[in-house]
Amino acid sequence: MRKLNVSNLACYRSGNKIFSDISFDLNEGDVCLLSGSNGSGKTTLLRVLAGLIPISYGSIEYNNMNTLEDNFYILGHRLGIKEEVTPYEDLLFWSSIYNYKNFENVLKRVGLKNYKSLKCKYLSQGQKQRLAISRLLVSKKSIWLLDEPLSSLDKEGVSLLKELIDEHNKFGGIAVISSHNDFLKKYDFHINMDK
Amino acid sequence: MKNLKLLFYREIKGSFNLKGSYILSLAFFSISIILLPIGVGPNKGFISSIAPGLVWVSIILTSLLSLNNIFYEDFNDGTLDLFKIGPLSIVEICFIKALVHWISNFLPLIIVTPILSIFLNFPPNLLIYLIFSLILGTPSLSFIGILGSSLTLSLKQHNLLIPLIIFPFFIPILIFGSGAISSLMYIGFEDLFMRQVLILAGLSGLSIALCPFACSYILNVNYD
Repeated sequence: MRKLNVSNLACYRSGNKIFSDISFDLNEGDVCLLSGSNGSGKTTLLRVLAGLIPISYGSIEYNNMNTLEDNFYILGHRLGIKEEVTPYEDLLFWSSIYNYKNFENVLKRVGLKNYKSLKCKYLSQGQKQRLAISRLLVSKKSIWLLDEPLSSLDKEGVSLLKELIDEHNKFGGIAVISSHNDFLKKYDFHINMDK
Repeated sequence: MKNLKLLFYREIKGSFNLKGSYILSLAFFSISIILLPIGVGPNKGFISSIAPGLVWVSIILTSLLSLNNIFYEDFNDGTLDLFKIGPLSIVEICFIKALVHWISNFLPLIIVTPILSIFLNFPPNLLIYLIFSLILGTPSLSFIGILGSSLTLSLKQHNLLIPLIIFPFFIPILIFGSGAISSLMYIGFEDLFMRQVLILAGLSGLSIALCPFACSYILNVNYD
């Protein structure tokens, strides 16, 4: 049984407290919603969980190991999309890196099949977000760290994302999602970063 | 190995697109080699005598134009985040980044050097030695360069700081690079040339072996 335990997590940057005393336990299939005002530390918490920012205090354990190792994928504000490549080339690269075979189906699933040969610089912000979501799918990771994943998505995109999160949880995945929007009707754990 | 190849091809393709810094490097290098003899004056013998130094100084100055871009764009657009959480190790990423920087920025310069050497009245019989010294010496510039690039990643003044940080490390390469050719031109002593070229190769080998690890460490502690 997969288990993510976060206890007394704190992050300080340049001596300033970003957040402290964050604790939660998530089991497989759980969703954790992070909410809070701008600057409350949602993005920082997700980046700390991803190991992109060092932990100041506290611990993160996944299956009783002191690290998330290679079990997570973070979808952040910076999407890492190169303007000169096409969605097809981009996903071909990442799916090859993650050994994922049917990436064309993923492109179709996220609604980019008809745009697969268009350079990314011509895609709308919502389409770029969909491309970033498609990478999430080919990564096949059990923990999804999603930072404001609805940004720039239209209604169809939002329902697609909800559907993908539901599927991910159904198959035992864990998701930690920061959002201002109450698009998630159901979640297992809620952290208000303002408190 | 498969992932390394994938990253290599992706980086090469990205480097040689129209926005690639190699065009700027090529233009800067060509212009400096063409302008320097004009500035020095019409004394052919004098220009010829300082040609090895001029080529090496131009190469080093040109490298400063592109070193700040090695990680900066990837850091800004989030690609570096994806690399850090992906299956490739940071050491491998640093190695590929430096290798691609050398291929896209120094290799074109080495290729045009025989043509540009005409402007420097460089002895054609020594051209092969010059190319040989450049091939052996310039990899160290890219591999040392990734250290400066990673150290200044999150700083606003990175363009200014990179030359200041890595400049001292480039001095030995300049000394042995231009010294090797000068020793052939003035003394005609191949043994002295070989010794200096071997030191250049040693510096390159050392930087290829150590810099990706040092760069990986810097990227782990200086990534915020």
